[in-house]
Amino acid sequence: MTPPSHEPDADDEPLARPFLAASGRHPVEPADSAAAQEVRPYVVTAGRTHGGPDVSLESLVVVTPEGRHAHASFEAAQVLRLCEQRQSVAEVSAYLCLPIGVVRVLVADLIGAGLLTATAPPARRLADDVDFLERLVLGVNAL
Amino acid sequence: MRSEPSLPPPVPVKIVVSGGFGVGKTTAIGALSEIEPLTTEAAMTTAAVGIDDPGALQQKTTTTVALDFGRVTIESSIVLYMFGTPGQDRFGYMWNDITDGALGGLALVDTGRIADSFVALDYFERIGLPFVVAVNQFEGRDNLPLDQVRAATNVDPDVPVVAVDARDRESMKRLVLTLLDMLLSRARAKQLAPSRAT
Repeated sequence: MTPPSHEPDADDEPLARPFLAASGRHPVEPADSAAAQEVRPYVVTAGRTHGGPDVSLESLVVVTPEGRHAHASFEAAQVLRLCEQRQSVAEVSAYLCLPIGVVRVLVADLIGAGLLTATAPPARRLADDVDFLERLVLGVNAL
Repeated sequence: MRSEPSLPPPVPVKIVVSGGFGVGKTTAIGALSEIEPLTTEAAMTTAAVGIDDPGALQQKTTTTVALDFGRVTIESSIVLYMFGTPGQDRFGYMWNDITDGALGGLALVDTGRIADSFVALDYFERIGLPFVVAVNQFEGRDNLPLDQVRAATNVDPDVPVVAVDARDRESMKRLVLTLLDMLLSRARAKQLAPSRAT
């Protein structure tokens, strides 16, 4: 896993104030961060705080072939572009400077639309999985 | 890194790094992480804040709580995430997300301010998350002996209490291995006595 080649840069790509993105217009002015804080964050998700499938902070998501060519709203398109390399939901949130709850809803929507896939949760609790833990110990030892 | 189609995607797992403000959580995460620690934010509105802070009821602001995390890729088949708990106690709701599905926890302790770690210890014990007490050794200071930290924190006898230098990669490796060894012992014990597993 390497950091994404495309990181949002405050200079070349100002973060849209959420309500501007929702209106379909491109941001016309850089949102200064203090003002952006005053926008209710869930405007991006039309007020929803829960999406379809449950995604955890560490769920790894990657774009599907359909997702590569999909037209999506501003934030969703940012998520898709970032996820051309497999990312955790937490990393998507950090790189796009979007609150984790907002990213969860966006990601869940995109999974529901078939534009992203997430790694399936493990079939059994990893904390009880002796083989897995032994691999992990060996791996950490080798760091 | 894009996975080859023939390779299964890596399995993500996480551990939780907790402790009082300024104890070195982000330093500890950064010592082991292959990336600079990242920060993500959770946002909450005054509706939620007001519940435990009546004085804030009139303010129409969005409060954010930041949490730091790092990542280690292990043989390209496992991605180990380390999530730091947010410093603000009252945002305990974010702790659910951080600890949900976590393998275990690292409770960092500053012996100058042991009580600051109690929130983390209480939380880990309450949800039954296996954890290690890691006493961060600050230079130029008399750090309390480990047995006194054990007595002060009153953790179960099977909870390891170890010294750590949160800035040092090898020290952090040993700490994570201490946690993993404990998990492995428990998993093996469960495997041998599956009928007692709950």
